[in-house]
Amino acid sequence: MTDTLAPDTFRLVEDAQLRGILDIHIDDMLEYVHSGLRDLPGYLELYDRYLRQRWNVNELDFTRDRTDWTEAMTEDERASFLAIASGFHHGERQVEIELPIFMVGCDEDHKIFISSQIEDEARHVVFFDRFYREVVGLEGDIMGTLDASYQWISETFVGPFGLLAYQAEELRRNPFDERARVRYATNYFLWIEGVLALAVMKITLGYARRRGFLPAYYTGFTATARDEARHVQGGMRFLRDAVDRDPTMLNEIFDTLRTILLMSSTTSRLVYFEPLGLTRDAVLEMLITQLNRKLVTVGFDLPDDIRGMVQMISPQLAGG
Amino acid sequence: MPAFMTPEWAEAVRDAVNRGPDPDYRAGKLEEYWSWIDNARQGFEGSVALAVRAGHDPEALQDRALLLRFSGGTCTEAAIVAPDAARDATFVLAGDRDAYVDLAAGYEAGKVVMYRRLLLEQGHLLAFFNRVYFFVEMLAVIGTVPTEFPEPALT
Repeated sequence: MTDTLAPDTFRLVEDAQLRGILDIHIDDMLEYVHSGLRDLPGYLELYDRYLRQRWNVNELDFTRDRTDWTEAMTEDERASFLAIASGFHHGERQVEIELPIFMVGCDEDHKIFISSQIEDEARHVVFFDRFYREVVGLEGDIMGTLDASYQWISETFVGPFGLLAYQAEELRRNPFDERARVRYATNYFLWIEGVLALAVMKITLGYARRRGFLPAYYTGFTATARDEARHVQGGMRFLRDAVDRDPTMLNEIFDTLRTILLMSSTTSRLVYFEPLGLTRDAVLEMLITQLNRKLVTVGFDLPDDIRGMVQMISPQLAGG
Repeated sequence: MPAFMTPEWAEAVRDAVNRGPDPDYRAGKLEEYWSWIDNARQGFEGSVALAVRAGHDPEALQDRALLLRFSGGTCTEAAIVAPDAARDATFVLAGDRDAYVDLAAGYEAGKVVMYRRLLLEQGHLLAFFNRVYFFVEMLAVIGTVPTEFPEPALT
Protein backbone atom coordinates (compact mmCIF):
# COMPACT_ATOMS: atom_id res chain seq x y z
CA MET A 1 0.00 0.00 0.00
CA THR A 2 2.71 2.45 0.95
CA ASP A 3 6.50 2.47 0.90
CA THR A 4 7.21 5.87 2.42
CA LEU A 5 4.50 6.66 4.97
CA ALA A 6 3.45 4.80 8.11
CA PRO A 7 0.11 3.06 7.43
CA ASP A 8 -1.85 5.20 9.90
CA THR A 9 -0.41 8.41 8.43
CA PHE A 10 -1.18 7.17 4.93
CA ARG A 11 -4.83 6.58 5.88
CA LEU A 12 -5.03 9.99 7.56
CA VAL A 13 -3.80 11.70 4.39
CA GLU A 14 -5.84 9.50 2.09
CA ASP A 15 -9.16 9.88 3.89
CA ALA A 16 -9.09 13.38 5.41
CA GLN A 17 -12.04 15.61 4.65
CA LEU A 18 -11.40 19.29 4.05
CA ARG A 19 -11.56 20.34 7.72
CA GLY A 20 -9.10 17.61 8.70
CA ILE A 21 -6.53 18.70 6.11
CA LEU A 22 -5.34 21.44 8.47
CA ASP A 23 -3.91 18.74 10.74
CA ILE A 24 -1.80 17.12 8.00
CA HIS A 25 1.86 18.11 7.76
CA ILE A 26 2.89 19.16 4.26
CA ASP A 27 5.88 16.78 4.39
CA ASP A 28 3.50 13.86 4.89
CA MET A 29 1.42 15.09 1.96
CA LEU A 30 4.50 15.25 -0.27
CA GLU A 31 5.46 11.71 0.76
CA TYR A 32 1.92 10.64 -0.07
CA VAL A 33 2.53 11.72 -3.67
CA HIS A 34 5.39 9.25 -3.97
CA SER A 35 3.60 6.44 -2.14
CA GLY A 36 1.76 5.41 -5.29
CA LEU A 37 4.51 5.83 -7.82
CA ARG A 38 6.15 2.41 -7.67
CA ASP A 39 2.90 0.52 -8.34
CA LEU A 40 1.16 3.18 -10.36
CA PRO A 41 -2.63 2.95 -9.91
CA GLY A 42 -4.98 2.60 -12.86
CA TYR A 43 -6.93 5.55 -14.17
CA LEU A 44 -10.29 4.37 -12.81
CA GLU A 45 -8.71 3.79 -9.39
CA LEU A 46 -7.42 7.35 -9.49
CA TYR A 47 -10.87 8.53 -10.53
CA ASP A 48 -12.37 6.72 -7.53
CA ARG A 49 -9.90 8.54 -5.28
CA TYR A 50 -10.95 11.80 -6.89
CA LEU A 51 -14.57 11.11 -5.98
CA ARG A 52 -13.58 10.51 -2.36
CA GLN A 53 -11.05 13.33 -2.06
CA ARG A 54 -12.60 16.24 -3.95
CA TRP A 55 -13.30 19.29 -1.83
CA ASN A 56 -15.47 22.34 -2.02
CA VAL A 57 -13.39 25.47 -2.50
CA ASN A 58 -16.30 27.59 -1.33
CA GLU A 59 -16.25 25.98 2.12
CA LEU A 60 -12.99 27.78 2.93
CA ASP A 61 -13.25 30.84 5.15
CA PHE A 62 -10.40 33.31 4.50
CA THR A 63 -11.37 35.74 7.30
CA ARG A 64 -8.50 34.75 9.61
CA ASP A 65 -6.08 34.67 6.63
CA ARG A 66 -6.91 38.29 5.83
CA THR A 67 -6.11 39.29 9.40
CA ASP A 68 -2.81 37.36 9.31
CA TRP A 69 -1.91 38.95 5.96
CA THR A 70 -2.59 42.52 6.99
CA GLU A 71 -1.66 42.47 10.68
CA ALA A 72 0.74 39.61 11.45
CA MET A 73 2.94 39.09 8.41
CA THR A 74 5.84 41.43 7.72
CA GLU A 75 6.29 43.29 4.45
CA ASP A 76 9.25 41.04 3.55
CA GLU A 77 7.18 37.94 4.22
CA ARG A 78 4.32 39.20 2.06
CA ALA A 79 6.71 40.12 -0.77
CA SER A 80 8.38 36.70 -0.76
CA PHE A 81 5.02 34.96 -0.46
CA LEU A 82 3.61 36.79 -3.48
CA ALA A 83 6.73 36.12 -5.55
CA ILE A 84 6.16 32.42 -4.99
CA ALA A 85 2.37 32.04 -4.82
CA SER A 86 1.75 34.10 -7.97
CA GLY A 87 3.49 31.46 -10.07
CA PHE A 88 0.78 29.09 -8.86
CA HIS A 89 -2.00 31.59 -9.43
CA HIS A 90 -1.04 31.69 -13.11
CA GLY A 91 0.22 28.12 -13.31
CA GLU A 92 -3.09 26.64 -12.21
CA ARG A 93 -4.93 28.68 -14.83
CA GLN A 94 -2.53 27.59 -17.56
CA VAL A 95 -2.72 23.88 -16.76
CA GLU A 96 -6.53 24.10 -16.55
CA ILE A 97 -6.91 25.52 -20.04
CA GLU A 98 -4.21 23.39 -21.70
CA LEU A 99 -5.40 20.00 -20.42
CA PRO A 100 -8.66 19.38 -22.34
CA ILE A 101 -6.89 18.96 -25.67
CA PHE A 102 -4.70 16.21 -24.21
CA MET A 103 -7.85 14.28 -23.27
CA VAL A 104 -8.86 13.93 -26.93
CA GLY A 105 -6.12 11.39 -27.60
CA CYS A 106 -6.58 9.37 -24.39
CA ASP A 107 -8.16 5.94 -24.16
CA GLU A 108 -11.54 5.73 -22.44
CA ASP A 109 -10.40 5.05 -18.86
CA HIS A 110 -7.84 7.79 -19.12
CA LYS A 111 -10.45 10.23 -20.48
CA ILE A 112 -12.58 9.71 -17.38
CA PHE A 113 -9.64 10.43 -15.09
CA ILE A 114 -8.51 13.46 -17.09
CA SER A 115 -12.02 14.90 -16.89
CA SER A 116 -11.68 14.83 -13.10
CA GLN A 117 -8.26 16.43 -13.32
CA ILE A 118 -9.69 19.27 -15.41
CA GLU A 119 -12.25 19.88 -12.65
CA ASP A 120 -9.45 19.81 -10.05
CA GLU A 121 -7.46 22.41 -11.97
CA ALA A 122 -10.51 24.67 -12.33
CA ARG A 123 -11.08 24.41 -8.56
CA HIS A 124 -7.44 25.33 -7.93
CA VAL A 125 -7.88 28.41 -10.12
CA VAL A 126 -10.87 29.45 -8.03
CA PHE A 127 -8.92 28.76 -4.84
CA PHE A 128 -6.15 31.15 -5.86
CA ASP A 129 -8.64 33.66 -7.18
CA ARG A 130 -10.34 33.71 -3.79
CA PHE A 131 -7.01 34.00 -1.97
CA TYR A 132 -5.84 36.94 -4.10
CA ARG A 133 -9.22 38.63 -3.88
CA GLU A 134 -10.12 38.03 -0.23
CA VAL A 135 -6.69 37.98 1.41
CA VAL A 136 -4.28 39.96 -0.78
CA GLY A 137 -7.01 42.41 -1.78
CA LEU A 138 -6.88 42.33 -5.58
CA GLU A 139 -10.00 43.22 -7.50
CA GLY A 140 -11.60 42.20 -10.77
CA ASP A 141 -12.95 39.08 -12.38
CA ILE A 142 -10.90 35.89 -12.79
CA MET A 143 -8.71 37.39 -15.53
CA GLY A 144 -8.62 40.69 -13.67
CA THR A 145 -6.96 39.17 -10.61
CA LEU A 146 -4.61 37.22 -12.88
CA ASP A 147 -3.61 40.39 -14.70
CA ALA A 148 -3.10 42.14 -11.36
CA SER A 149 -0.82 39.40 -9.98
CA TYR A 150 1.21 39.07 -13.19
CA GLN A 151 3.58 41.74 -11.90
CA TRP A 152 4.92 39.28 -9.33
CA ILE A 153 5.81 36.39 -11.58
CA SER A 154 9.21 35.92 -13.16
CA GLU A 155 9.73 36.45 -16.89
CA THR A 156 11.07 32.89 -17.07
CA PHE A 157 7.56 31.63 -16.25
CA VAL A 158 6.99 31.68 -20.01
CA GLY A 159 9.54 28.86 -20.34
CA PRO A 160 7.59 25.84 -19.09
CA PHE A 161 4.15 27.43 -19.45
CA GLY A 162 4.72 28.88 -22.91
CA LEU A 163 6.06 25.48 -23.92
CA LEU A 164 2.90 23.89 -22.52
CA ALA A 165 0.70 26.29 -24.49
CA TYR A 166 2.53 25.55 -27.72
CA GLN A 167 2.56 21.81 -27.00
CA ALA A 168 -1.21 21.97 -26.51
CA GLU A 169 -1.48 23.74 -29.86
CA GLU A 170 0.64 20.99 -31.41
CA LEU A 171 -1.82 18.42 -30.02
CA ARG A 172 -4.80 20.45 -31.20
CA ARG A 173 -3.50 19.98 -34.73
CA ASN A 174 -2.83 16.27 -34.25
CA PRO A 175 -4.34 14.94 -31.01
CA PHE A 176 -3.21 11.34 -31.64
CA ASP A 177 0.49 12.07 -32.22
CA GLU A 178 1.86 9.79 -29.51
CA ARG A 179 5.32 11.34 -29.52
CA ALA A 180 3.88 14.83 -29.10
CA ARG A 181 1.67 13.51 -26.29
CA VAL A 182 4.70 12.10 -24.49
CA ARG A 183 6.55 15.42 -24.83
CA TYR A 184 3.48 17.26 -23.52
CA ALA A 185 3.14 14.84 -20.59
CA THR A 186 6.82 15.23 -19.73
CA ASN A 187 6.38 18.97 -19.36
CA TYR A 188 2.94 18.96 -17.71
CA PHE A 189 2.85 15.93 -15.45
CA LEU A 190 6.52 15.29 -14.74
CA TRP A 191 8.03 18.79 -14.67
CA ILE A 192 5.28 21.32 -13.89
CA GLU A 193 3.25 19.14 -11.51
CA GLY A 194 5.76 16.59 -10.34
CA VAL A 195 8.76 18.82 -9.81
CA LEU A 196 7.92 22.53 -9.76
CA ALA A 197 4.57 22.35 -8.02
CA LEU A 198 5.44 19.86 -5.33
CA ALA A 199 8.76 21.48 -4.46
CA VAL A 200 7.41 25.01 -4.37
CA MET A 201 4.27 24.05 -2.45
CA LYS A 202 6.47 23.19 0.47
CA ILE A 203 7.80 26.75 0.72
CA THR A 204 4.58 28.63 1.40
CA LEU A 205 2.87 25.75 3.18
CA GLY A 206 5.88 25.10 5.42
CA TYR A 207 5.96 28.79 6.28
CA ALA A 208 2.23 28.95 7.05
CA ARG A 209 2.45 25.88 9.26
CA ARG A 210 5.53 27.03 11.18
CA ARG A 211 4.07 30.46 11.86
CA GLY A 212 0.51 29.28 12.40
CA PHE A 213 -0.69 31.73 9.74
CA LEU A 214 -3.16 31.55 6.85
CA PRO A 215 -5.24 28.50 7.91
CA ALA A 216 -7.59 28.58 4.92
CA TYR A 217 -4.65 28.89 2.50
CA TYR A 218 -2.91 25.99 4.25
CA THR A 219 -6.06 23.88 4.11
CA GLY A 220 -6.89 24.58 0.47
CA PHE A 221 -3.35 24.36 -0.84
CA THR A 222 -2.58 21.15 1.08
CA ALA A 223 -5.78 19.69 -0.37
CA THR A 224 -4.44 20.86 -3.73
CA ALA A 225 -1.22 18.92 -3.05
CA ARG A 226 -3.30 15.80 -2.50
CA ASP A 227 -5.01 16.42 -5.84
CA GLU A 228 -1.55 16.76 -7.40
CA ALA A 229 -0.69 13.29 -6.07
CA ARG A 230 -3.37 11.83 -8.34
CA HIS A 231 -2.27 13.96 -11.27
CA VAL A 232 1.40 13.04 -10.93
CA GLN A 233 0.61 9.36 -10.50
CA GLY A 234 -1.70 9.41 -13.52
CA GLY A 235 0.87 11.30 -15.57
CA MET A 236 3.73 9.01 -14.61
CA ARG A 237 1.55 6.02 -15.46
CA PHE A 238 0.97 7.49 -18.91
CA LEU A 239 4.70 8.01 -19.44
CA ARG A 240 5.69 4.60 -18.14
CA ASP A 241 3.06 2.86 -20.27
CA ALA A 242 4.21 4.82 -23.33
CA VAL A 243 7.82 3.73 -22.74
CA ASP A 244 6.75 0.12 -22.09
CA ARG A 245 4.95 0.07 -25.45
CA ASP A 246 7.77 1.79 -27.30
CA PRO A 247 11.13 2.22 -25.54
CA THR A 248 12.17 4.90 -28.05
CA MET A 249 9.66 7.19 -26.30
CA LEU A 250 12.38 7.70 -23.72
CA ASN A 251 14.08 9.88 -26.33
CA GLU A 252 11.02 12.18 -26.36
CA ILE A 253 11.09 12.41 -22.56
CA PHE A 254 14.80 13.15 -22.50
CA ASP A 255 14.70 15.68 -25.36
CA THR A 256 11.89 17.52 -23.60
CA LEU A 257 13.80 17.46 -20.33
CA ARG A 258 16.87 18.90 -22.06
CA THR A 259 14.82 21.88 -23.25
CA ILE A 260 13.14 22.30 -19.86
CA LEU A 261 16.43 22.16 -18.00
CA LEU A 262 18.05 24.60 -20.41
CA MET A 263 15.17 27.03 -19.85
CA SER A 264 15.47 26.40 -16.12
CA SER A 265 19.16 27.26 -16.00
CA THR A 266 18.38 30.93 -15.47
CA THR A 267 15.92 33.20 -13.77
CA SER A 268 15.10 36.85 -14.35
CA ARG A 269 14.36 37.88 -10.78
CA LEU A 270 15.97 37.33 -7.43
CA VAL A 271 13.49 35.93 -4.95
CA TYR A 272 14.25 36.01 -1.26
CA PHE A 273 13.26 32.74 0.36
CA GLU A 274 14.70 33.61 3.74
CA PRO A 275 11.63 35.53 5.01
CA LEU A 276 9.72 32.27 4.55
CA GLY A 277 12.39 30.25 6.34
CA LEU A 278 14.28 28.68 3.43
CA THR A 279 17.38 29.35 1.36
CA ARG A 280 17.82 29.28 -2.41
CA ASP A 281 20.09 26.24 -2.07
CA ALA A 282 17.45 24.38 -0.08
CA VAL A 283 14.83 25.13 -2.75
CA LEU A 284 17.18 23.93 -5.47
CA GLU A 285 17.80 20.75 -3.54
CA MET A 286 14.04 20.19 -3.30
CA LEU A 287 13.60 20.60 -7.05
CA ILE A 288 16.40 18.17 -7.83
CA THR A 289 15.12 15.66 -5.29
CA GLN A 290 11.59 15.83 -6.67
CA LEU A 291 12.81 15.18 -10.22
CA ASN A 292 15.12 12.33 -9.27
CA ARG A 293 12.51 10.60 -7.12
CA LYS A 294 9.95 10.59 -9.92
CA LEU A 295 12.39 9.24 -12.49
CA VAL A 296 13.99 6.64 -10.25
CA THR A 297 10.66 5.39 -8.95
CA VAL A 298 9.25 4.69 -12.40
CA GLY A 299 12.56 3.30 -13.61
CA PHE A 300 13.80 5.99 -16.03
CA ASP A 301 17.59 6.25 -15.92
CA LEU A 302 18.81 9.71 -16.90
CA PRO A 303 21.66 10.08 -19.43
CA ASP A 304 24.80 11.76 -18.09
CA ASP A 305 24.27 15.03 -19.96
CA ILE A 306 20.85 15.50 -18.36
CA ARG A 307 22.24 14.66 -14.93
CA GLY A 308 24.70 17.49 -15.45
CA MET A 309 21.94 19.88 -16.53
CA VAL A 310 19.90 19.03 -13.43
CA GLN A 311 22.69 20.41 -11.27
CA MET A 312 22.54 23.74 -13.13
CA ILE A 313 18.88 24.60 -12.62
CA SER A 314 17.69 27.80 -11.03
CA PRO A 315 14.52 27.86 -8.91
CA GLN A 316 11.45 28.43 -11.08
CA LEU A 317 8.72 29.45 -8.69
CA ALA A 318 5.59 28.18 -10.27
CA GLY A 319 3.39 25.15 -10.47
CA GLY A 320 0.05 23.95 -11.63
CA MET B 1 5.78 56.89 -38.17
CA PRO B 2 6.23 53.83 -40.43
CA ALA B 3 3.21 51.71 -41.10
CA PHE B 4 3.08 48.12 -39.85
CA MET B 5 4.53 45.56 -42.23
CA THR B 6 6.28 48.07 -44.47
CA PRO B 7 9.99 48.07 -45.39
CA GLU B 8 10.51 51.23 -43.29
CA TRP B 9 9.03 49.53 -40.24
CA ALA B 10 11.08 46.38 -40.91
CA GLU B 11 14.28 48.42 -40.95
CA ALA B 12 13.31 50.15 -37.72
CA VAL B 13 12.67 46.73 -36.20
CA ARG B 14 16.11 45.51 -37.30
CA ASP B 15 17.77 48.52 -35.66
CA ALA B 16 15.80 48.04 -32.45
CA VAL B 17 16.50 44.31 -32.27
CA ASN B 18 20.22 44.91 -32.73
CA ARG B 19 20.18 47.72 -30.16
CA GLY B 20 18.32 45.53 -27.63
CA PRO B 21 16.21 46.66 -24.71
CA ASP B 22 16.79 50.06 -23.17
CA PRO B 23 19.02 50.20 -20.07
CA ASP B 24 16.20 50.84 -17.61
CA TYR B 25 14.27 47.81 -18.84
CA ARG B 26 17.44 45.71 -18.82
CA ALA B 27 18.30 46.78 -15.29
CA GLY B 28 14.97 45.42 -14.06
CA LYS B 29 16.05 41.84 -14.69
CA LEU B 30 19.00 39.80 -13.51
CA GLU B 31 22.23 39.87 -15.50
CA GLU B 32 22.24 36.05 -15.64
CA TYR B 33 18.97 36.25 -17.57
CA TRP B 34 20.51 38.58 -20.16
CA SER B 35 23.60 36.35 -20.37
CA TRP B 36 21.34 33.40 -21.16
CA ILE B 37 19.69 35.47 -23.88
CA ASP B 38 23.03 36.63 -25.28
CA ASN B 39 24.18 33.01 -25.54
CA ALA B 40 20.95 32.02 -27.26
CA ARG B 41 21.25 34.93 -29.66
CA GLN B 42 24.91 34.27 -30.50
CA GLY B 43 24.16 30.67 -31.32
CA PHE B 44 21.19 31.35 -33.54
CA GLU B 45 21.97 31.06 -37.24
CA GLY B 46 18.55 31.22 -38.80
CA SER B 47 15.48 33.31 -39.35
CA VAL B 48 12.21 34.23 -37.69
CA ALA B 49 9.11 35.29 -39.58
CA LEU B 50 6.27 37.19 -37.97
CA ALA B 51 3.07 36.71 -39.92
CA VAL B 52 -0.44 38.05 -39.58
CA ARG B 53 -3.13 35.43 -39.62
CA ALA B 54 -6.27 36.08 -41.60
CA GLY B 55 -9.14 34.83 -39.47
CA HIS B 56 -8.92 31.59 -37.50
CA ASP B 57 -7.46 29.42 -40.24
CA PRO B 58 -3.80 28.82 -39.30
CA GLU B 59 -2.99 28.18 -42.94
CA ALA B 60 -4.38 31.52 -44.06
CA LEU B 61 -1.72 34.17 -43.64
CA GLN B 62 -2.16 37.71 -44.88
CA ASP B 63 -0.19 38.94 -47.83
CA ARG B 64 2.84 40.27 -45.95
CA ALA B 65 5.13 39.02 -43.19
CA LEU B 66 8.26 40.28 -41.46
CA LEU B 67 11.32 38.10 -42.01
CA LEU B 68 14.32 38.59 -39.69
CA ARG B 69 17.58 36.78 -40.45
CA PHE B 70 20.22 36.31 -37.73
CA SER B 71 23.88 35.49 -37.95
CA GLY B 72 26.66 35.86 -35.42
CA GLY B 73 24.32 37.41 -32.88
CA THR B 74 23.17 40.15 -35.25
CA CYS B 75 19.96 40.66 -37.14
CA THR B 76 21.49 40.92 -40.60
CA GLU B 77 18.35 41.36 -42.64
CA ALA B 78 14.79 42.52 -42.10
CA ALA B 79 12.42 42.25 -45.02
CA ILE B 80 8.74 42.26 -45.76
CA VAL B 81 7.98 39.11 -47.67
CA ALA B 82 5.08 37.15 -49.10
CA PRO B 83 3.65 34.28 -47.01
CA ASP B 84 5.34 31.64 -49.14
CA ALA B 85 8.74 33.20 -48.50
CA ALA B 86 7.94 33.50 -44.79
CA ARG B 87 7.40 29.76 -44.66
CA ASP B 88 11.08 29.28 -45.50
CA ALA B 89 12.02 30.75 -42.12
CA THR B 90 13.44 28.61 -39.32
CA PHE B 91 10.52 29.66 -37.13
CA VAL B 92 7.23 31.23 -38.20
CA LEU B 93 5.15 32.95 -35.56
CA ALA B 94 1.67 34.07 -36.52
CA GLY B 95 -1.14 35.88 -34.81
CA ASP B 96 -4.08 38.02 -35.69
CA ARG B 97 -3.80 41.76 -36.20
CA ASP B 98 -5.00 42.46 -32.64
CA ALA B 99 -2.06 40.56 -31.19
CA TYR B 100 0.37 42.94 -32.88
CA VAL B 101 -1.72 45.98 -31.96
CA ASP B 102 -1.70 44.91 -28.32
CA LEU B 103 2.03 44.16 -28.39
CA ALA B 104 2.68 47.68 -29.71
CA ALA B 105 0.46 49.05 -26.95
CA GLY B 106 2.64 47.48 -24.26
CA TYR B 107 0.96 44.11 -23.73
CA GLU B 108 3.54 41.79 -22.15
CA ALA B 109 5.42 39.67 -24.70
CA GLY B 110 5.39 36.69 -22.33
CA LYS B 111 1.61 36.74 -22.30
CA VAL B 112 1.55 36.98 -26.09
CA VAL B 113 3.22 33.56 -26.13
CA MET B 114 1.60 32.04 -23.04
CA TYR B 115 -1.90 33.04 -24.03
CA ARG B 116 -1.31 31.86 -27.61
CA ARG B 117 -1.81 35.28 -29.15
CA LEU B 118 1.17 34.37 -31.37
CA LEU B 119 1.58 30.73 -32.30
CA LEU B 120 4.48 28.79 -33.70
CA GLU B 121 3.09 27.96 -37.12
CA GLN B 122 6.29 26.38 -38.32
CA GLY B 123 9.57 25.25 -36.83
CA HIS B 124 10.84 22.72 -34.30
CA LEU B 125 9.02 23.32 -31.05
CA LEU B 126 11.75 22.31 -28.62
CA ALA B 127 14.41 24.15 -30.65
CA PHE B 128 12.30 27.30 -30.39
CA PHE B 129 12.06 26.94 -26.62
CA ASN B 130 15.79 26.30 -26.35
CA ARG B 131 16.07 30.04 -27.12
CA VAL B 132 12.66 31.14 -25.86
CA TYR B 133 13.69 34.12 -23.71
CA PHE B 134 15.64 35.55 -26.65
CA PHE B 135 12.56 35.35 -28.85
CA VAL B 136 10.22 36.71 -26.17
CA GLU B 137 12.49 39.67 -25.42
CA MET B 138 12.82 40.23 -29.17
CA LEU B 139 9.03 40.49 -29.36
CA ALA B 140 9.09 42.94 -26.47
CA VAL B 141 11.62 45.10 -28.35
CA ILE B 142 9.57 44.92 -31.55
CA GLY B 143 6.59 46.12 -29.54
CA THR B 144 8.50 49.30 -28.69
CA VAL B 145 9.06 50.25 -32.35
CA PRO B 146 6.54 52.99 -33.20
CA THR B 147 4.18 51.96 -35.95
CA GLU B 148 0.77 52.71 -37.36
CA PHE B 149 -1.74 49.99 -38.07
CA PRO B 150 -3.84 50.57 -41.16
CA GLU B 151 -7.51 49.88 -40.60
CA PRO B 152 -8.35 46.30 -41.57
CA ALA B 153 -10.01 45.92 -44.92
CA LEU B 154 -13.73 45.20 -44.84
CA THR B 155 -14.62 41.75 -46.03
